[in-house]
Parts: sequence; structure tokens; C-alpha cells
Amino acid sequence: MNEKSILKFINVSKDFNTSSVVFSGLKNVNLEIFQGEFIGLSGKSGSGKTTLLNIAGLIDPPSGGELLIKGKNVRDFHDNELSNVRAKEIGFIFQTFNLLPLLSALENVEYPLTLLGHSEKEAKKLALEALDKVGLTKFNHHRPAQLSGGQRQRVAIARAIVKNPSLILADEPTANLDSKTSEEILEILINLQKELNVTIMLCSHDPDLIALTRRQIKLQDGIIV
Amino acid sequence: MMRLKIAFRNVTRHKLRSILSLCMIAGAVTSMIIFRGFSQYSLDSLKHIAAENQFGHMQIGKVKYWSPGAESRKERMFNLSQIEHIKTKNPSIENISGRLSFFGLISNGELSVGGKIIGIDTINEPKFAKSMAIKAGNFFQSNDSLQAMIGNLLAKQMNVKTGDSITVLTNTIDGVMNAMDLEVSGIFSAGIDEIDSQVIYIPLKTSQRILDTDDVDTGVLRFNKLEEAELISSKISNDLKANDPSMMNKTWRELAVLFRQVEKFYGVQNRIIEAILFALMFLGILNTVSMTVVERTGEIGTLRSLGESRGDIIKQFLLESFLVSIVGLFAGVGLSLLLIQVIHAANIVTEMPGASTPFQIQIIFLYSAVFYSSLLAVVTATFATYLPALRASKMDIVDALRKNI
Repeated sequence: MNEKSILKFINVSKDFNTSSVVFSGLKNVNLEIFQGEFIGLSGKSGSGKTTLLNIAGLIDPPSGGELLIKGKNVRDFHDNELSNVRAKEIGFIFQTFNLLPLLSALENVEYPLTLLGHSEKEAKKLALEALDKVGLTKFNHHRPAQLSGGQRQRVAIARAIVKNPSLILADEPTANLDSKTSEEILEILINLQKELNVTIMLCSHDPDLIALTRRQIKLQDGIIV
Repeated sequence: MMRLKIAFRNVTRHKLRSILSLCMIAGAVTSMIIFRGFSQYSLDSLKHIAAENQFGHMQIGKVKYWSPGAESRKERMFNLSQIEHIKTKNPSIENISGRLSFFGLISNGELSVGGKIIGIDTINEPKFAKSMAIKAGNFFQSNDSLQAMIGNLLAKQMNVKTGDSITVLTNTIDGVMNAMDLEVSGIFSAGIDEIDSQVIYIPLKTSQRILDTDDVDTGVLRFNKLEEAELISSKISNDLKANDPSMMNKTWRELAVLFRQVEKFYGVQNRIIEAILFALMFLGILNTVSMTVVERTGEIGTLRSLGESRGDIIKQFLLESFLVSIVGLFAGVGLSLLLIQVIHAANIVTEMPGASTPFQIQIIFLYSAVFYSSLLAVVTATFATYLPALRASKMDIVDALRKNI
């Protein structure tokens, strides 16, 4: 395992204010994640898995503690700086795929590269390579609505890896898929992780899936156990 | 390019909604071009009547002529030779002619009515007759003939026609009663009630004979271009004051009260109509974009998670609004051109306040109106889009992503 730190949680907590009570999603989480790790987050519903991923993905600010990405504390980052970090360093794979419905599979994969200032030609080349890695070159020009669930998730994976990020966050990536497709998706993730040496944080309810990751973290009531 | 592609696809995603926004923009632009074009035509017509006919481009007279006091009539008059130097100094002046007017009784033997008799120098104001609608007969050609042109409403009231004889009765400038028989050479219509119902035009020399004077009330200046009158008005004013402080000048605009009133009226009316139109357009677009933001909440969350900044989200909505605005503008301009043709072909006739004759509605296609309406439409659409787009950009990313389920 490479010892380069990608992400470091220091006493990170997250509180959610409802109308009557304050609910703690995470409580003083301390966690360091290194380059090339394949981490599986497990735990019951409401244990804080998704909250941890959202904080790691800089889309949800922590209520307390410090979060360091590649050694930089993001607490004082302006919204534009957070967007830049997300655009460069983080790839998301969602349970509901979250592809842009008006773009084709190829355009969906190209999109993150355009945010990084790649030329159209270069973005297309890299997007085709990424789609090739997930075995989806035949469906480049199909829109998400014309693809199956498994195909959509492959496009989402290609979109996450195309910019060569430091960290990929996968929130229940197989929850909406049948078991055969889930296995295929998981195999793709495992192979890509090895091939690209990218850090993947994956959360799932499925213990078989978590068992395939190299480092398992269990959450219970917002605490790492 | 990708952003433009997405913008285009988003615009065409809900065609009916986009068409509605487009129609609001096109409607506002068309209305504005039509209103402004009609106002301009009306003002141009009034300007033509005032500057080419009623007052000339500029008038010079005694200060006391325009603000009379207890002085004698003679003191309010002057000899035209006194202002010849103005023409010499200003080459843009084509000619200077005199006018001498007075109030008197106009009689046809059976009926006598009060009227304004204006002596015109037809030699030095050759375009005066051309700018007037001659309803019957001819304009007098000689400067000293015993003829008169009578306003059509006055002619109707007195039941006179061309070739009839009328008598003009007034006091000379020395206060002696004087009368003169004149032949009605023609009947005119200036298009303004005030003129057509009480004015008769007679040759300047005839007017001078009736009043027993060689002087005039006003010198009427005609310029190469009408615009010159206002451009060099202050220069002429200074020249006059330096030479004779009792003299002053007035441009056609200063003299044409009706024109100024109508201009002001149209100005206020058009601003109110424009404000209502653009307020409706603003609310319409605001509502449409707000609905779009709600529908696209999940996508906004995805875009933000992919690394789009708040500014990027706002830019995306503004770009979509701009695309709709541009199409709406072209549609609005095209529609206004079509409507202008239809209105002209329909021969719609209307009457203007103070006008004696109905006129056909004409609309001038003004490039300034196209520019102004386009600018206003784009600014309004941008602002109406910006508010919901700003709200979209400030959405909580996690909450927005939940809408993808």
C-alpha cells in the first residue's frame, strides 16, 4: 500500500437539525485514507455511511473537526475551490446513476473533462478510452434512457474514472442492479482499482460486496467500530 | 461548446414552455416596435405640419411680438431688411421671408366671422403651398394678388367656395378701419382644427396693404435641413441680441405647442405600455425558469457534484435564457415587419387629437426601436432568469441529489 495520504478525517462530526431535535450523523470520526486503497464502508441504514461519503466528496460540510485532502485543510475553502477539488480529484458513482439525461453516454463521460478545460477532441478521445475500459463502446451515442441499469452504471463509472481522480466515491453502486449485473460492476471496479491504482471508497449494505474490498470500515450510529 | 449543446437541448426539452417564453419576448418586442413606429409617424406628421407649414423652420420677431404688452402694434413689427445679416452669416439658411398676420372679420356678405389672416410671401416660401393639402382651387402664385386661401372648416362654416368673394375687415396699424375684397383662390387643409377653422392665407403684400405698412411680424427662416434650425438656434439668438436686443428667434419646436404636447404624451404613454409589457414578460420568464429549476433540481445536484461551481450553474441558465431571447427577438422583429405590412394594407384610418382630417395609420420601422426593445428584452429576460438561477446555484448539493431518486 502506498503511504501517500489522500484523505484525513480528524474528529469529524456531522449534526442534522430537524425541527425539534439535533441528530448526530457522525461523531468524532478519525480516519486516514491512502492512495490505492479499496475501502468498503458497511453499516445499517442511518449508521452514517452516506454522510461520511458526502463529507469525503466535499458535497456536505462537516459540523465539526477537520478534513484534509492531500494534506490541505478544506475547512476554509471557498465554494469555487471546493468545486475545483471535486472537478479534479473526486469521482462519484451513485446508486441512481445520476447521468445527465440530455447527453449521450459519450457526452456524459466527456462532460467532467470539459470542466477541467480539455479540448473537445481530447475529451472525446479520453471518454472513448474510459468507455472502452468499462466495455461500453457500442452504446456511445445512446442516451441514458436508452440504456439498461447496468449500462448506465458503467457509464457512471467511466464518468468517474475519465478524469483520473485521486478518489472515487461509490454510494451503493449495485443497489439498483440485479445480482449478475452487480457482479459485473463490482468486477469492473476491482479491475479499475488495480489498473489505475485509484482510491475507492464504497459503501454498501451487501456484506458479500464489502468482503471483496481490501479495507473494511464499519459504522454504527455515526461511530467507526 | 458542451455548455451550449446542453443549453440548446434544455431549451428544446420542454418545447411548449420554451415557445411560451419565446412568445412573451417576441410579443413585447413587436408591441414596442409597433408603438414606437406609430408614435414616430404621428410625430413626423405633426412636425411636417408645424415646420413646413404652420411656423417654418425658425421665426425671428420682436420680443414684444411673442410677449405683447401695452405698446403699439407698430412697435411689435420690424422691417425684414433688419435681419438680412443673419442669412449672410449662416449659409445653411436657404431663405428668409416675412409674415404679417392679424385678426379681423371675414365676411361673405351674409355672414361675418372672426378669423386669423396670415400674409405669406409665396415667392420666398415656395414650399409652403406644397406642404398643404389643397382641397379645391389653387394656391395664389403672386405676392400681391387680391386672393385668399381659406381653411376648409372655415369655408364650410361660411359656405364659400373657390371663385367667391370675401371681405376682410380690420384696423390698420394706425388704428384706421380698413377693408378689402378678396377672391377665394382655393381651400386648404392643414390637418389641424386650429388652423383649418379660423385661418385664411393671403399674399404678404396684400396683407401689408390692408394694415398699411411695409413691415412684418415675423421673419420665417428656411434651412437646408430642418435639423440645422435647432443646431444653430443659439448662435442666431446671440447674433440677434448683439445687433438688436429687441429681436429674438424661436425654432419650430418652441413654437409648436401641439407637437410638444403630443411628443410628451407619446413619451409617457409608450413608457407605461413598455413597463407593463416587460413586467409581464419578467413575471412570465421568472415563473417558467422557476419551474425549470424545480424540475432540474436532481441534475443541478449532479452537476455540482461533478465540479460545477455556483457561477457555472447560473451561467448555464443564463445561456439558455439568452438562446430563447435571441430567437424571441428575431421572431419579434419578423412579426413586427409582417404586422406593419398588414396594418398598411388594411388602410386603417384614425383621428388625432386636434387634427381636422382623419389619417391612415402608418408605422415606421425604426432601427432604434429594434435596438432598444432588444436590449430591454435581453436585460429583462436575463434578470428574470438570474433570480431563480441564483436560487438553484445555492441549493444544498446533497438535498438536490436526493431528487434523482
